[in-house]
Amino acid sequence: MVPNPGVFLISLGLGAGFIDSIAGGGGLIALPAIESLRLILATLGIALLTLVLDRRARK
Amino acid sequence: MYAGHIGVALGAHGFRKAVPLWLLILAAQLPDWADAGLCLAGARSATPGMYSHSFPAVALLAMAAAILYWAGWRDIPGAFLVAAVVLSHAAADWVTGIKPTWPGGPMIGLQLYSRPAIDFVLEAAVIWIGWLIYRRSFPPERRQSNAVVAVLVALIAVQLIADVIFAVTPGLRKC
Repeated sequence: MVPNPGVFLISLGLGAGFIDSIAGGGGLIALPAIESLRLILATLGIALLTLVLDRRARK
Repeated sequence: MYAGHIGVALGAHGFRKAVPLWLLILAAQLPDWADAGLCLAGARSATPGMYSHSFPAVALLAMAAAILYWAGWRDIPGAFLVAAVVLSHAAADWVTGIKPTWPGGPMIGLQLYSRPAIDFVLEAAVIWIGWLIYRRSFPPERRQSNAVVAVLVALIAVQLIADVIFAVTPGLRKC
């Protein structure tokens, strides 16, 4: 059923850790990268949105 | 502060159109970018924000941004404006959050993020004032166009969404 149990277990752990880190826990991969990704996406997103709207307004 | 920083950048661009808007937005968000970069690099301080939002950190970032802008554009008033926009980030964050002052110093701030309704009113006001100044960078006949008004509406909508998230979540960690 599972071609490689090792890969399966690691994937399961990483998946659970990812969900845990998103939910605010200190899970397996609650690395700074995951936390800072939110900050980067929020910061970059509003910056790009503003620049796109400004460009549209100046056309 | 979140979308309010963009309001400051818009206002600065309306004040001096020669400084590109993308650069002013980057300047307005610079301490947050520094925070994210340090977080990714694993350089965490014992006090959150010490290396990005404290007095010495923001002063260094403002100076670096002004020097880099001056090196690229040879525009001294613009360089001062860029520095002021970076400094505005810290001033705004002391209203909406709690930030470090200096190593060993107190944490200061009104932490309005814990009162999202007040935060929204304040940030919307900053966005609105910034947009009014930004609007002056357009020819008079275009200042009331849908596209120009859309900038204001979108930023206020994004801030509203952010404040709803602040209201329903116990607190988001930055790093």
